[in-house]
Amino acid sequence: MFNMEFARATMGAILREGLPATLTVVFWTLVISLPLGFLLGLIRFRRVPVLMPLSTVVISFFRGTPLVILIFLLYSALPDALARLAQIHGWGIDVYGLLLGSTKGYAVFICSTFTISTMAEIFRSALGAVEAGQLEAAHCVGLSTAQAYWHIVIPQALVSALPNLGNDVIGLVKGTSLMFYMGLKDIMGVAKTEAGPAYAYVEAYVDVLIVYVVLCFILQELFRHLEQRLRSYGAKG
Amino acid sequence: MKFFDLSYFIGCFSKLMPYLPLTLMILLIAMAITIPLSAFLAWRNLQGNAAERGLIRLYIQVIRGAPFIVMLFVVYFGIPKLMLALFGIDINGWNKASYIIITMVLFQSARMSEAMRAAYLAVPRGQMEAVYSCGMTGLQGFLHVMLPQTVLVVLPNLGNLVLSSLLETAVGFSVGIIDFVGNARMVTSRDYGLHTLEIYLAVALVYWALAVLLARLFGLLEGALARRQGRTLSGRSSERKGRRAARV
Repeated sequence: MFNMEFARATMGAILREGLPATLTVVFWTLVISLPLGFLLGLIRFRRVPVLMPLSTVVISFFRGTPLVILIFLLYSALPDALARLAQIHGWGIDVYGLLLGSTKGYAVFICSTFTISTMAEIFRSALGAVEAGQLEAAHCVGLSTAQAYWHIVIPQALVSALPNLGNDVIGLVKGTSLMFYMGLKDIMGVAKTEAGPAYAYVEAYVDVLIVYVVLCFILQELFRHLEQRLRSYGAKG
Repeated sequence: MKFFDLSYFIGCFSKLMPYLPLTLMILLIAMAITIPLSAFLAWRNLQGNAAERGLIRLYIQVIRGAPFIVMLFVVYFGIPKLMLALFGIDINGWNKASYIIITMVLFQSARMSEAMRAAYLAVPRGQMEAVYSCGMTGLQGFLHVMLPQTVLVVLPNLGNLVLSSLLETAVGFSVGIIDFVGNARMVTSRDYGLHTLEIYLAVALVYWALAVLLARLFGLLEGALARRQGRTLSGRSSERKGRRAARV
C-alpha cells in the first residue's frame, strides 16, 4: 500500500534538488525583505505623511489576499498584461524573457511582496515596544535622532522583533510550498514531478511533509536559541 | 486588445460570485468542527494525563511545520487509500470539499487549541480559588468566571486564525473543488486566458474585502464582549500590544 522504496528514492531527489531550491528562494527573499520590511516598518512607525496611508492599503492587500491568488496574479496575469502593453505601444521589449527568465528570481520577487508586508508590521510593533523614554534620554545626552535610532532604539527593536520574525520566516518557508504553481522545482515541485509517472502521490507528499516538518522544527529551535542569547538586550515591556 | 479591460472586469463578478457560497460553506463547516475540537484539545492538554499531553503536543509540533497545501494533498490522496486498506470502504465518491474541510480542521485545531490554552492560562489563577471559596463548584466556576474571560482573551487570536482559514480556502481548486477559485480558473480558460488579470484581480479583491470584513467583525465582537464584562479595551492596551490583534 505504501511504496517504501519509491518514498526513499523520492526523498533523495527532494533533498538533492528540491531543498536547495527552496532554501535559495527563502535566503534571497530574506536578503531583500529584511531591510525593505524594516524601512517600511520605520516609515509606518514614524507616520511619514503620504507613505503611511499608502503603505496601509498595500500591506492590507498583501495580507488579505491568498498567496496562491497572488502567484496567479503576479505570475500569469501580470506578464501577459505587460506584454500586451508593450505590444500596444510598440516598445519592442521581451517582457516574458525579462520577467520570467529566471523562475527562482521571479519566485523571490513574489515571496518578497508578501514578506515585506508582514515584516513591516512586525518591525513597526517592535519599534513601538521600545520605550519613548529611551529616545528622550538619548536626546538628553546630545545624540541626534538618527544616532539615537542607530545605537539605541533599533538594536532593542530588533531583539524584541525576534520571536515574530522567527514565525514569519517559518511562514515564508511554508509559503514557498505553493511556488510549484509558477513552475519552481522546489521541495514540492520535485515531489510532484516524481509522483506523477509512478502514480505514487501519497508517498511523495508524505516525503514533502516530513521535510517541511523537520525544516520548520530546526528553524524554530534556531530562533529559540537566538532569542535566549539576546534576551538581555531586548526592550522590556 | 487592452492592458486592462474595465468592462470585462466589472462583468466578471457576476460569473464569479455564484461560487462564493461554497467557499464560505467550507470555511463555516470547518470552523464549526475546529472550534469545539480545539477547546477539547486545549482542555486535555491542560488537565489530561502525561500520555494525553505528550500526544497533543506532538500533534501540535508536527502540524506547526506542515504547509497547508502539502497536508491537503496527503489527506486527499492518503485518506481514501487508508480507508480502503483498513476498512474496505470506498470513499472516492465523497464530495471533494470534504477533503479540504478535514485538512482545515487538522491544520487549525492545533493552532487554535494552543491559542485557547494560552488564553486560559492568562486568566489569573486566584479567580478559581475565589470561586471555590464562594462555595461554587469547579464547573460553575469555569462556566461563569473562567470561560467568559478566556473567550475575551482568545478572541483576537481566534480572529486571526479564522482569517487565515479563509485565505487557505483558496487552494481548494488543487484537489478539483469547483469553488470560488476553482470556478475562476475555469472562467479564465474558457476565455482563452485573455482576461487573467481582470479575473484574478477580481478574485483577490473579493478575498481582500472578506478578510477586512471578518477582521472588522471580530473587532466588534471583542468590543461587545468586553463591554458586557465591564472592561474597556483601551485600558488593556499594553496587553493588546503583545498579542496581534485581528486585523488585515
